[in-house]
Amino acid sequence: MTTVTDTPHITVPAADEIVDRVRELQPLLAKNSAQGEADRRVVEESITALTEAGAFKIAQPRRYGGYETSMRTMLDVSAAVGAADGGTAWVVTLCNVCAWLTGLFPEQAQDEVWATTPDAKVSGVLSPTAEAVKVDGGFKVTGRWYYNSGSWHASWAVLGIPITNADGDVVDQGLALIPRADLGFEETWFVAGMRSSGSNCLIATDVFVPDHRIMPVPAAIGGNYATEHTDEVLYRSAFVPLLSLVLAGPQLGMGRKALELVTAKADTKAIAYTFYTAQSDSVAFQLQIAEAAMLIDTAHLHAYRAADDIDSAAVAGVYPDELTRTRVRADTGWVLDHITKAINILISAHGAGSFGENNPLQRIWRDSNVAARHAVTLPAVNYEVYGKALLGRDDQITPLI
Amino acid sequence: MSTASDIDPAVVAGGIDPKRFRDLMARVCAPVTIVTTTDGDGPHGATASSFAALSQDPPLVTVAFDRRSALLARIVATGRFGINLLHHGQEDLAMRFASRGTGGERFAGTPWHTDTGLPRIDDAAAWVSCERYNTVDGGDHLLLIGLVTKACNVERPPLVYANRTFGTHSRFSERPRRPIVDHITACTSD
Repeated sequence: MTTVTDTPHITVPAADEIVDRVRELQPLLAKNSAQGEADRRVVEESITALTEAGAFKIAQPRRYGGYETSMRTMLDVSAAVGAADGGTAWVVTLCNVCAWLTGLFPEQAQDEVWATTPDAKVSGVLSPTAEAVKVDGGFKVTGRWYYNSGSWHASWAVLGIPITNADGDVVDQGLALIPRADLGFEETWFVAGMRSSGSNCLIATDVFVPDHRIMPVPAAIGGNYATEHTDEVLYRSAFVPLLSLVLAGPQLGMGRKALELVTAKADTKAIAYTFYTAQSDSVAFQLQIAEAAMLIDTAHLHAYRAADDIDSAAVAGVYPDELTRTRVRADTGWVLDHITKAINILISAHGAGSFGENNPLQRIWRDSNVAARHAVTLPAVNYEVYGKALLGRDDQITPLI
Repeated sequence: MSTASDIDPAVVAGGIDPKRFRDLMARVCAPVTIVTTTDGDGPHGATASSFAALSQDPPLVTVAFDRRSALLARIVATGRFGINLLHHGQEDLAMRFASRGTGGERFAGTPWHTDTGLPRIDDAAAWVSCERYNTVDGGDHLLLIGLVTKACNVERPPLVYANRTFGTHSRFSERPRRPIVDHITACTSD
């Protein structure tokens, strides 16, 4: 079904229709996954197909023809792509979350990105690995930002900067929205998994960024955004919780796919060096499958609980308290913990054949494990953050809550 | 300033125990830097603990090299060098650039990039680009005086070397700063 919004001539499909469109592309995305790894870049055919299906519109404001959906739909779409290819899912996820970040900027900045090019994609890195010099009307920015997932495909980037005053003292932290054409690019992404995400290095040398394209980060962490469109529910979502939870989306799809692949072979694959001619006859194997399935379900339950925390607060127009926000970080870590454990069990159950280069399981195993080490999602760190909040301690370990 | 010729030769001959002198110098808390340059043979670099400030106007720094240093010859030839002030977590790089090896061997496996045409170590606590301003004879060493053309700082604890041990400023965390600086450091650390 489709619903017509207030915006004339723009029809926004229902969330389940968007996800169905992505699912239809899964065979194509899976077909291109090995090539994407070899190229260290998602095959253009996949990007084009996803763009046409609207997969990159889900976090873009309706004012520019976007679908402006929800945290839940962002998880759904990332998971649907992730079931076909992890690296492609990472690109979709990161471009969408950076589109969401762009939607927090003042309208003037958003217009520059999307008014004439509604299909423009944005990549980004939060780390302020840069220097910024205050000049009239903005900042001169110089820096290098590693791990720009999706930078092959983006025409803009949101990049972390320290904000300085006229004396050069650091007074704030920001995100600068910069056209890709103003930035240098170096291939630095040579990794064991998530190879096709193309998370390369963007470089700025004395790039002028006007004030309206700079968003203060501490204010955003507290729920104060620059967008004038406070009626747009998606752009009221909690900052760090959304940035963290989106990274669980690809994992959900990879976990489900691993279970599907292993289950599908169980009736015809023997257990080596045993009398079992079918894995599915073995009670031990049955237990492994059940445990993996439960771990994957647990991951989903926590991911969607966290998504509902974010979405319901945004609908209500309230900013979730610190305990809720740290719980989303813990939920995100919980997803990664359970998906990586499930995939490990499934690989052991399926056997050494999992590691054949033509077996998608080995790519899922590598992609999931590499992605699960993203710094903002590390389980041990995120449990510590949540534990501090549960205990009401004043020695919190991160500003990112 | 005095030169060796103004000083009583008996004093130059010294008569002090070289080991005692080395032990004294070992107590001096020194910054740990990797000095770099580049030429047709690629990037070159070496660990140096003699980095010091000299002048504010013009901005000058000094670093001393053994006259036999291959890097020194290349810096004299190119007239340009970079100084990476290492951070507390880069002890392994300090050792790598202090041991035997060619520039290619030292830079292989070292995260680095080019800045103002000079090899810059990723994530160092500070970076200085220099033009050769002057050189001063100093016995078996040559003191390079560099004119600073670019300076970059990162909020990271600097690597120091004293008593033949690597460490950092023990009260770095008590340095005067705004809380936002800690936020930024938390968001930039790997």
